[in-house]
Amino acid sequence: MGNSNSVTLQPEEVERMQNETGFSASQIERLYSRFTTLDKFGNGALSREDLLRIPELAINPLGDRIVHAFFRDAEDESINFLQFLKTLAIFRPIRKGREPRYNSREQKLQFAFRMYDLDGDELISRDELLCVLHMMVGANISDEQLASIADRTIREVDQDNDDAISLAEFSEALKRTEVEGKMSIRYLN
Amino acid sequence: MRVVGLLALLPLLALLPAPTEAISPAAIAAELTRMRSRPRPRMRRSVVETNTHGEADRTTTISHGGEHAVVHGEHSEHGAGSAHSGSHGDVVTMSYCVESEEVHESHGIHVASWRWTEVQTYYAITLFIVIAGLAKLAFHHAHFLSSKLPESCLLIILGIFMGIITYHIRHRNDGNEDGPNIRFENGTVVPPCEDEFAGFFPKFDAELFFLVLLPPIVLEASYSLHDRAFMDNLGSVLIFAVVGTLFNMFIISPALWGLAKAGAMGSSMIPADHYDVSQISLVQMLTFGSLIVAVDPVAVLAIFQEVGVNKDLYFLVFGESLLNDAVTVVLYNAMVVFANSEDVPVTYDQVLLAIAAFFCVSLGGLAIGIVFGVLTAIITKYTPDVRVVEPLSLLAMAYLAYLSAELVHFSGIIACVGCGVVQAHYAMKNISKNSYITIKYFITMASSTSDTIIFMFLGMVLVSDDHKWHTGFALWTLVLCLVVRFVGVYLLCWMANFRRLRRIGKKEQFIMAYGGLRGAVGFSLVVMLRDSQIDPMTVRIFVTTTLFIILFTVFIQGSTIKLLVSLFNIKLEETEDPTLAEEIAATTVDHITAGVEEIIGYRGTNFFKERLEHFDEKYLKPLLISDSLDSSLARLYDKLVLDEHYANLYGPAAAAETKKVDIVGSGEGDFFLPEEEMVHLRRRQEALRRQLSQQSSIGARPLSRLGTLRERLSRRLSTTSASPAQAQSVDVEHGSGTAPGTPLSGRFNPDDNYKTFPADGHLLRKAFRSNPYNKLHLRYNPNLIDEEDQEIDTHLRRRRMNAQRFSQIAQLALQQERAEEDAAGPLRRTASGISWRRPPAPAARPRSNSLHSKRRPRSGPENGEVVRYPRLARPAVLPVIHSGVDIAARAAEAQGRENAAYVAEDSAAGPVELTVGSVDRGGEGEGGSGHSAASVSVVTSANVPSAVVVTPPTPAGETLPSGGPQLSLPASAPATPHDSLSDDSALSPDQSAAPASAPETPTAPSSEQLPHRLPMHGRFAPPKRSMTVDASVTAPGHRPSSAMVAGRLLRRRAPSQRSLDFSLDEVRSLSSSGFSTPRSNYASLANSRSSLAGWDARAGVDEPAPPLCRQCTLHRYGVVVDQPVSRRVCRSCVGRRAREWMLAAALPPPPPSPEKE
Repeated sequence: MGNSNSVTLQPEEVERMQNETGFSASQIERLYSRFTTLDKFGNGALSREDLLRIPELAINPLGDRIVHAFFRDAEDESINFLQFLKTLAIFRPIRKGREPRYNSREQKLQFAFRMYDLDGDELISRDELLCVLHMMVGANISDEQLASIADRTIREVDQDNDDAISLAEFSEALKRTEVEGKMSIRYLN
Repeated sequence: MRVVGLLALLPLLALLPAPTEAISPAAIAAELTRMRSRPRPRMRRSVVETNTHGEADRTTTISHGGEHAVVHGEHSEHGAGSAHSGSHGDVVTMSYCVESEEVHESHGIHVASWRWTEVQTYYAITLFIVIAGLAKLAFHHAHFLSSKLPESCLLIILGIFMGIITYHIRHRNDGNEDGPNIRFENGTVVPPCEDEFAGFFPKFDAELFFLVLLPPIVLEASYSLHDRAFMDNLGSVLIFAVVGTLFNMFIISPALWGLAKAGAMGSSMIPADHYDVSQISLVQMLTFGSLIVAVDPVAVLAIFQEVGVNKDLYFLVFGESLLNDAVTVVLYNAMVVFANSEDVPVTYDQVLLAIAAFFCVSLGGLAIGIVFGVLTAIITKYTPDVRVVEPLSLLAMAYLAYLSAELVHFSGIIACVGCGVVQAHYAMKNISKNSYITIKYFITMASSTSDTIIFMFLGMVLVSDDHKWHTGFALWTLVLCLVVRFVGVYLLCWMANFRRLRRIGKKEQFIMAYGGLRGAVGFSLVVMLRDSQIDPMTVRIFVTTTLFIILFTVFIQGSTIKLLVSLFNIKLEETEDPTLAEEIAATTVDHITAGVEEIIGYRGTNFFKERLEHFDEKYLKPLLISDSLDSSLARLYDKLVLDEHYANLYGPAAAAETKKVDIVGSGEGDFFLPEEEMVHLRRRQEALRRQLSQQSSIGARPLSRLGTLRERLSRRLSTTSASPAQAQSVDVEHGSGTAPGTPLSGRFNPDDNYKTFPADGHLLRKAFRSNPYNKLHLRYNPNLIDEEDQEIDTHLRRRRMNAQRFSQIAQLALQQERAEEDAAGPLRRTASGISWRRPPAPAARPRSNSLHSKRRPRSGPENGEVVRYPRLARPAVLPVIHSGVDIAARAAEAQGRENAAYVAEDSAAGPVELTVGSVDRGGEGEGGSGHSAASVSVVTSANVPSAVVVTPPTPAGETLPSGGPQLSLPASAPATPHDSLSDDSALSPDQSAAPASAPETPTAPSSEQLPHRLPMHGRFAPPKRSMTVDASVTAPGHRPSSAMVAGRLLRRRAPSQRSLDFSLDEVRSLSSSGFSTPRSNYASLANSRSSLAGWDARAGVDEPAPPLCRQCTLHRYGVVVDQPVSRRVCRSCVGRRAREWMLAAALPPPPPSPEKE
């Protein structure tokens, strides 16, 4: 696919990435090969379409949102390998005794939070919540009930009465949930 | 002998140990004549003769019908227990002589006849079950025991007692006075008369255990396995179940064998037989090892459920104990085969076959289970009209799966687990809620009965002559079992932790190892060994050792594990429901992790889970579930709404009762909320204050709206220390209604009323749950299932009925009111818009001492203390009053939002003044200590049925009572001897005399009127559980509400007499003797909306907004919450639908109030 020049990473590059993201060298190798597979045009960067083209992602109701989360900090609608890694680093399991870098509980929560935050204003409004709920369980619940569920959820979580959920409120609501383990992927260990 | 057997059973039935000495010949003779005099139906007798030359040549002869083969017992004399007397044989002869006489059974019709032989088996079984149930009951009530020991221990002890009893009964037949006779024949112990009871008393054997007792337990457990936590831990569970079991067995058995060979075990306890454990072969040891490693689901389940550890740990241990069954059974069967053919060398292909058998047994069982589960789902898909078959189909199919698997020698347990999980996933969603509850109850009942029976059997089996104790062997087995279990668990945890994201902690590992209890599975397997070729002495040693291990694990480990869990600070199971946010987040997280795995191209757990779920959603669920519009989120939502409803309904009462306990216990007990709750509350208070400072618009709303819930509660519940002033302030706060912005003003701002609700709802829920009663009986009690959710439908229906009834009452009362108003002049209006009809100066009023004053017409100003509320623009916000007002509001609504008489409930503070008839304000003050309290008046007048009118506390300025708990009533009121309500009594002389003291107004036609009886639509169901509130320790604030009192009074009456006037005696007896307050009826007079709104309002908190109507999503459906959950629509939608329907059908208009439909 014309990306032979970028198939191998330079050792110093790998080391830099290792330091930055906490992945091991072999993990970086593996992820890089995945990256190049996804990178259809071999320009060392992924576009949204590259990710959305993954067939398995099609059945994921949040596929769109997840892809969007990868591109959140990307200026030109494309991400390079390091950005790709940084996003993935959120899903590294937290190891005891090691300083969490990208994979702290807060960052994991933030990633989940951004699933709902459609307009990027760091607040989940009722409509946004309803929209995401629609994506996830829309087929199974009637719209009316979904609306009341969204209402109630906002009411449950909202503390400052602005009818929206902030990140702080979000993490407060999930303080019983064991996010660290659940939002981790063994592969990235 | 048979007669003795019969007689012997009677004391057994009564659970009384029979005297051990032989029955005197006189008694026998008496019995014989008794029997002779009674014609009998077909006589079936089993004659058992114990010709005691060892077990093998015991002969059993059974004779049928009239042909009695009389087998005369010829007892050989044996060495040891030579107490056999000659009379023994005589008895046998006698009884059979008697029987052979009785052949005239065929003629005549019997009024009663003695058919013991035909029912004996079932009788004994049922009786045994009843005893088991009673044991459980007694255990549950013995709190001092249940808090210390696990239930299984108690049951075993009880079983031992029963075993002793049956043992003695058994041995009576041998006629030896000096205790059980243990006879030795050729070095073996011969149990006397073993078969004696075979037909009488259920005997524990493998068949009974595996085919009857075990399936319910497994099925119940498998329904609980349908859980995320189990699926998440499935990998580890399988490692433990398969590898762990193999590891244990192949360490323990060779070690035992080696130790025996090395002579480390010493010799047997009984010197009579010089049994040498070193003669046990390796294969035999392996057989023993295969059964002794079987961690038992019954024992583990019983104890771990009681302890309530977190789900991960629970499923790790419990899942292991369930699933290792396949391994155990396969190993056991293979080993028995090897042991039976000891001389044939074990070949490799046999070993390979054993391995193949393992996969067949486990996977085959699973396949059978899944097939049956799917079949059940398909069946239940077509049962919406035939609901009765639903519970049957689920239970029977699961049992069929179990039996089918057993039929082909697969693991029934695994089949049952598979079937149960599939059923829980699909079939459970097809069935109705009632069927679900039926199943849950039935399976819980069956499994707990099985549980009880198994443990009791375990105890009973202990008392037997059949044991052979070998100290060295037993102790070494114990040590090895413990050590190897610990080593195995630590090793496997270490391995599993490589794969696990959430690691198993060291303490949890300890609990896992420690929780490896042995139980009935191992026991049944070892009992089955008796049929094998293994030398009986060895089998006896195995049996005894297995029992020893079981007892040790259940007693020592079982009773200390609770302690260890708390000592280690093991995370316990979450008792709080998940919130909606958590549920949503869980779904989101699943999708996220799956999505990321998809992106990085890793086919991990999450990836496959997502695919599986997708497949399930898309193909399986439509195929197997009739209404696929279902999700866990919606279910959780419904559950939460119901939960909240209940919290609002019962929370206050629960809080009050909690407080009461505090008062009794500590004397001061400030509040019932734990510290973190207080922190939470304070934080919210802070937040509110900040908000208030920012938004001046709602500044008028007092802080107390939510923040001072605690203060209010504590004030409300405070003991006699509550000063009048303090109570007064409460009164002012939510009683007077004059302060602008208080809820009483009736202002309803839908925007600001619900935001604060989670904390308050949370508070109420907490109060409800942490009520000691609930704690004890609902939360930790596995014997109850969704108890509080269950009655909701009937409950709500009943309340709706009552609401309708009250509406009618109120409506009729209104007409009366109007007539009175015309006479009394215009109403005075207060600043807050509340119209009060002020009583005139007390001195001016005629005193009514009589309790028959109720018969005075309510005309004229002298009984005008009915406080009337303003016209209700928004009935939903009726504050202050818990239940009654809402009913009245509803009535008002029903008739065009006019004021109606309010059936109101008192507010929190002060005792209730309950007066009968027109309220006597007690102007002279002798009886009127309860001025500020609410009062109930029962209105009766001409041609108008009565209504209960409760006045709220009078406004500030009046004195408060000192807080005596008794209801204050006019002191000079003469007591009526009986209920003055019955038709006859109204005309009885003592009643007609009484009104003489009461000044009657000229227009008093009503004095002769009988109270109108409204038809009772809904019957008051008797309360399920009741709780006695001792009035003497009850805080003055904790008065039963007047509506409650009225309701209770009503309920005491015969249905035909349920009108709403009460005699003073009734009221007084109720108030003085303390109330029995049925929990489920706390607010049974309230209509449904008030339960959502009422208490919050009373505590100064606005009602939480009920969820939106499903139809229009604009209105809140709370108005008709008594609709089924799936049809929560608001009133206007109901009305609109009704109108549409009406137009379409061109039919006369439906009744005005939509909820009557």
